[in-house]
Amino acid sequence: MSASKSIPLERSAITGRRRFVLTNTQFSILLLLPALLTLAFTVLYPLLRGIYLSFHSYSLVDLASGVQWVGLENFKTLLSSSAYRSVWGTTLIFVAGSVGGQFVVGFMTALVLNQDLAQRNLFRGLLLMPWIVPTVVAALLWKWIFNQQYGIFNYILHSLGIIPSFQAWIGDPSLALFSVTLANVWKGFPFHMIVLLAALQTIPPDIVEAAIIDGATALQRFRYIVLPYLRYIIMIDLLISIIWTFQSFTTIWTMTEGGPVTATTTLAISIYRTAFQAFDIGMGAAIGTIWLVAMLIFSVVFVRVLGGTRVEV
Amino acid sequence: MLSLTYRRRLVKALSYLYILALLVLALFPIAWMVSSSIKPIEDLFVIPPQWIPENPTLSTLNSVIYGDYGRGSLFPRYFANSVIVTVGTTLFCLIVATLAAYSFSRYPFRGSNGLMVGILATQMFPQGMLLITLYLTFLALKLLNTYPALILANTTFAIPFAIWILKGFFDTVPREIEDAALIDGCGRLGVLMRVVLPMIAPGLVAAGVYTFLIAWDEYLFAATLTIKPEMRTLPPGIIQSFVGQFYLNWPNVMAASVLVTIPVTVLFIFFQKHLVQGLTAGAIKG
Repeated sequence: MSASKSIPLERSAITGRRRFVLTNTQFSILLLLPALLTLAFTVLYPLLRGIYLSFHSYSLVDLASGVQWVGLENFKTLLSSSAYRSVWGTTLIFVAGSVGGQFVVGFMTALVLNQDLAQRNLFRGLLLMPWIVPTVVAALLWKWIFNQQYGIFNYILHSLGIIPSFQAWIGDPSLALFSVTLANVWKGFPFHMIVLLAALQTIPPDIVEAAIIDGATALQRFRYIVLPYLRYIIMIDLLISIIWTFQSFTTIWTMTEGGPVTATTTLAISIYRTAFQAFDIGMGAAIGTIWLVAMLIFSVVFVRVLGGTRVEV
Repeated sequence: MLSLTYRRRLVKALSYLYILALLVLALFPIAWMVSSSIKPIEDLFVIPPQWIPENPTLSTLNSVIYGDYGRGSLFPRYFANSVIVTVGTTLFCLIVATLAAYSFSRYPFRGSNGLMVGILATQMFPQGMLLITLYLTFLALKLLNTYPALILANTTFAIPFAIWILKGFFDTVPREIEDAALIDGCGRLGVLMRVVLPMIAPGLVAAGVYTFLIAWDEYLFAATLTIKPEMRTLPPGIIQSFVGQFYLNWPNVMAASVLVTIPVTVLFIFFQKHLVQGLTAGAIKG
């Protein structure tokens, strides 16, 4: 940047006027200011206030008591509650099932589409459609498909002899989590497909051809060329989708509202129920704070383990 | 041992088969939505299902848009609200994120890389937790049920991703062009506006379309920060109008769903290339 540093001086020489010129760092911060101020108001302040509230008792039902310091009380209550632990269990199953399913389907599809197929771009575009459909629409649509009496899921599986009788995919607590996860896999796999396909196309073809000539099998090429080449992208892709799926609210809320009973109550549903339905703000904030700390630790470990030395944005 | 050409043909055939099967799984639910939306109600609740409507009708779409039984419909209002909030979010985020992404790409300073990581890390902050304070703040500022509240809330997830996409595009512009423009007496802001922005126009489209999609999709903030029915956007609006505790108005739900999906589908058809490029520009740069 040494060249551009001297430019403001040259320019003032041209115009022949002495004028106040920002340094590059000042200019840079000025450019950042609108974004930083907005995010300070919409993210940073709410985050800090949320952490603050998690050490307090604050109920919107009992406004007279106001915000009261309770120390670690909210956290103690949570950690000793079996309901809270099962929310974590539900969340982990939902995230693992969703991201796992999306990633496997997305990666397989990317590998298939990476070949020289006719109409490849058309296929890619059509396969992106589930991702384009608004989440509320996808959730309502799957709720209709899963409908016990008239849903086509039951009808098709029953006609094929896969299930003996019509099931309550949404209404049965032992099936509901599977159903919302399946809907989420359908909605989310195209994102992985797109990202991984683009990454596959950056692999230099001569490396692959050389490997073929040397007699490497498809599996060997996958293991020793594709995976190492894509490691960084796979890491980013998985990290982003794990973080997003933890946040996933709309699909579950629209399909089941976290039920039946608590069968599909993930952390995102749990915060909403606690803070905006039971109006227990302090407890809702505490759920968020633990979740946030867990995500931070997870992200750092995840990047350390999978990222190796290349940790950059 | 099979010959190489034979094996290649087999792999190709299996590939087409796989794509075909996946296309059915991916598109059939959407086709079913469309099919369900143009059936008279008595044809909707039948087993075996009518795959192709035998008596197609637009009456359900009609009643979603104009209301029925003498009751007006709030759907056009939801639609207008969604358009205002989504366009507002998109324009605001594009301006703010473009400036920030340019700073990260061209004028890095000590700590700016850390700042960028920090901005992306906001994506892991639980939205429900942020919503608590957003709700209380907008309540205090008397901004509940207003467009600015929804637009500001949407920036929490829209700005970071837009910055990420745009920085990927800025990074591809050769620095020499800017240096030349600077020497020619163009100010730094002028270089950005007149030289660099036209070069990354596809990036602006990509970030804009992406922001539009996620803002159009947003449910949690919109459902919480608006209480008045006439201020709701489409996602909470259709839930409120057609989804009851024990009863779901399926024909109207499917018709409304089709109507909500049309705008983003049109957008996608026109800008598919940009969107795909944008989603991968941030992630893939060597």
